[in-house]
Amino acid sequence: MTSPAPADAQEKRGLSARFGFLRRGRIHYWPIRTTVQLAFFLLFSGVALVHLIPGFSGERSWIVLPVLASVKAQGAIGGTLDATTVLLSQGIFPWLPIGIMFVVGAILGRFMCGWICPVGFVQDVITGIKGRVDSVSKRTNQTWIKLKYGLTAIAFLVSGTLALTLYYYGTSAGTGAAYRDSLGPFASGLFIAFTPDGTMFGTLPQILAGSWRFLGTGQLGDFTLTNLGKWITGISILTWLNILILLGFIYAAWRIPRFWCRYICPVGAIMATFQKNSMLGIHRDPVKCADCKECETACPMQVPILDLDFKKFNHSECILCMACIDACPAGALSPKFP
Amino acid sequence: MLNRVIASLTLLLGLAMTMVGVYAQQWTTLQDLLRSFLPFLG
Repeated sequence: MTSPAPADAQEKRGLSARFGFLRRGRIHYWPIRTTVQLAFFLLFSGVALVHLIPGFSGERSWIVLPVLASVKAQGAIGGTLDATTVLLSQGIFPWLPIGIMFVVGAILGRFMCGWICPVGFVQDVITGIKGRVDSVSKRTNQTWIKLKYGLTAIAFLVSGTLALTLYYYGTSAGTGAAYRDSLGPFASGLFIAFTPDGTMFGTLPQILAGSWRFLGTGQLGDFTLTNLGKWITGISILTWLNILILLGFIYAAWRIPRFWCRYICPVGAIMATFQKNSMLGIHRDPVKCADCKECETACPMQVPILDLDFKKFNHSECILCMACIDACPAGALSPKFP
Repeated sequence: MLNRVIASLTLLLGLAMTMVGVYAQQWTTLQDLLRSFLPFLG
């Protein structure tokens, strides 16, 4: 036996029936997000811009955003992590990039991971080509998530100790300079030396540009195995390691959606701490939600959405990509600010 | 409620740090340093 529905519920049902076409025509975020991601991908990676705009003078903006955008890439805009470690490598406290991380983190949380980050975009494209969002076991996911915090701690330990040494012992000579020299390519930042987007859009184009040198004057006689061997052996061990990491990154993104963001990304680790209390979150309507798990299936970060608060949830792994909102057949999810 | 307080304090702290960076004219140093990494155009 069912009890009669209250008057306001009947009213809502009536309105819903009358304006059902509006619900069916609700905003889908993925086309907007993909467009935004593509635009920022060009800004950050910049390879295309360099070739398309002859007037591009190589000027780089001081504006940095909390995403993984390597300084090695040909981009007009950089990332806050690289800016932070680069400033630390000069013995300067990075007020500006850290301040930007705090401001963006407080307002948007990990929104930029989902909408702006070029590395995230590459992974989304790989998942898109694959055509399905796979998941790993909950326990494995929870264990490996901690890895990115450890890697971030190591990166900041290296850059932080270097900055302190430079600050106290001087930057030009002595202990500070000796420490910096001993760190070699890692002095500017551990992740500058290893990030896959730096390899994709900085190191590899540079190598390929240099590859033409083995052709010498372009004569057929210059195309020899000796010249090719010289060019290949000229590539450093660190670069080969970077290429290996890039291949691993692509393979991992194919197997697990947003693998880098989940388990490796240092910017993701930093922004995850802000995400927990950020102003932007997602609301789940308890009346509309039927616990169908469509949202959890669509989530590339494997966030346990149905276990979180209804009013507003800010899970540290949520990148606010809104894939759950698009996937929800009942329209129970919506962005909530503040 | 606590979330909002933490978010507001984080925002204020972030704004203060950004202002210190702007006051110290850190953007010029940052721009030069970031530009030095451009392999083709630097």
